[in-house]
Amino acid sequence: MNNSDILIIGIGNEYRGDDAAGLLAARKLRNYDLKGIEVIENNGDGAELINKWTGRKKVILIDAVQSGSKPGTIHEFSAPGSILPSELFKFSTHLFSVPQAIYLSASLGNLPQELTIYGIEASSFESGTTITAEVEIAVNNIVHLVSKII
Amino acid sequence: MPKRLEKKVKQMKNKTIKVDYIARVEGEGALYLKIKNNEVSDVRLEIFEPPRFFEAFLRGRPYSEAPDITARICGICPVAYQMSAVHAMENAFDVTIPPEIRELRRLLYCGEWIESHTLHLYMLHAPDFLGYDDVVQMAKDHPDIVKKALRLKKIGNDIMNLVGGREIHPINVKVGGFYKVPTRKELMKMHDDICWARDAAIETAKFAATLPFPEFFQDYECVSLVHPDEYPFNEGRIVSNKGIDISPEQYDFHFREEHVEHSHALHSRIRERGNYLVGPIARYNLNYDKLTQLCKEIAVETGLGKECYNPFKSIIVRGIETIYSCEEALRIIDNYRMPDSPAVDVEPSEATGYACTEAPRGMIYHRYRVNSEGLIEDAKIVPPTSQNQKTIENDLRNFVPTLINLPEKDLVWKCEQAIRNYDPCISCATHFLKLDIQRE
Repeated sequence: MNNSDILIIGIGNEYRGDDAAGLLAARKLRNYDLKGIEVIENNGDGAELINKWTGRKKVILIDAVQSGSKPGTIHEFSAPGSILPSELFKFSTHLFSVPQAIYLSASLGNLPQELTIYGIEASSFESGTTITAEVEIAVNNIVHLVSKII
Repeated sequence: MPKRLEKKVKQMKNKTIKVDYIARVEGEGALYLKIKNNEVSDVRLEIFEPPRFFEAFLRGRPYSEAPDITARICGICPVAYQMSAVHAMENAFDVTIPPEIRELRRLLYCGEWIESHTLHLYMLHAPDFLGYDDVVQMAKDHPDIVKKALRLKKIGNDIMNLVGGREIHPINVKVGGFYKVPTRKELMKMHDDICWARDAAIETAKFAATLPFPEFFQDYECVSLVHPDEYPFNEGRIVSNKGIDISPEQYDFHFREEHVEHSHALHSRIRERGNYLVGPIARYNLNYDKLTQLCKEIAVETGLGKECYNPFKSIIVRGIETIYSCEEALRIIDNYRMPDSPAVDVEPSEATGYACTEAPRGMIYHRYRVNSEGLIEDAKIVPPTSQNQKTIENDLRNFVPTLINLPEKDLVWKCEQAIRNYDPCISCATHFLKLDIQRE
């Protein structure tokens, strides 16, 4: 696999508190020597995610999640294997969400061979640019983890 | 009936229907509907909009940051917010931009209309008409349609990327123009793709016209920008089919926003008359004569006519507007002359600026008061969805009695479809997943 086959996507909204986690991780990863691996930011527009990952072999997606775990907990999924769409969709607040994108992409046959999702457990999605300390630590841990595995 | 929909239905002689989450609208919304003796006695579209956070956030910031900050309000229509912000600031400081810059701004708007309309039409609204839970289900039967939709949407994003610098939140826009402008060669690279997009948009409008539509017509007061020479994106007078004809500076004299208890969003009203409609149908009805010949031909072919008062047919109008956006993008690219400078100089002063532009889902109003140091003292932003909110409730009030004998689950679905006619952008900015984790 060439490095150009790999894509890292940070998802979020920087004005909604901990929702910025994925974006912050993407920005920090750019400080590493990624040897041609592309890092992009996305606001959660699932349709655009499909367009971005089509043709890639390995995709790493970093996003804020809310499951009731302790803030800063890092969840790891490989898609679509360990994600149950009904559970995700029921609570998705966004119109065309990340899990929908994964399942649509699977239907269309353009899902990357490897798609790993790191979900950072968020504490607050309130309006503002402050993120929770635990989430910031988790962002740093994810960045470290991803920089090791790519 | 979408499985993920949480609903509580109390079956009584008098029914109360509560849909806690409305799927496939931007953000979070809920619907409360009370039916008494087969009539709708109460309808409330509950909206969890981040209440005016951005208006407060803008206070004290330099005028030059308004385009970038407001672009973050919505991931689907950042250009609308950005364009409204730059035009309002230019209005405040009496800045005139050269025609080449103006054309590039229209091109950027074309990109946003193509991507936003395509997303809504195919991925969010079409499944309603075809009886699918969502586009994931639809893709199993119609993979080619969905693939075409994704490609069409991508071309819109590509235009935004080229002109705006980054598709989701364009970073290349500034008061006075752009940070960097594309060369003619860079724009011409998109030519073939946009030709494809135009043909795909024609098929899209024809596809939309084949969908089943309820016979439902409303006497709307349509409000849209109207420009003497062009279908409106960035400028024009605010016109209605019931007598309004004003400049954006006069907006606050004719429209007002009011708090309603059940919604975090403000409801807009025409001071003298009440609710009104913004968005594709309003634009189309007031600007049909400014459409291209091709758009008019397709409008005839699809049976749309020169005016439309069936909100469900907004899906066809979105198709026609997508054709227009592609043709307009081609016209701009073909005639493009690179401006001498990417932006004109801007000298801030103590002033108030006003602007309206046409977001894909309707007219948007910005007003800023800036002090002598160029810092924003006050900001007002009226997004299209808060203007349409009362009209959505009225539609439901009138539409539900025609469905009263339907089983609840079908009734709820029809209500959701009626709400999605407006492509409502309800939270304009939140994105996160609430999830349950299944361990295997």
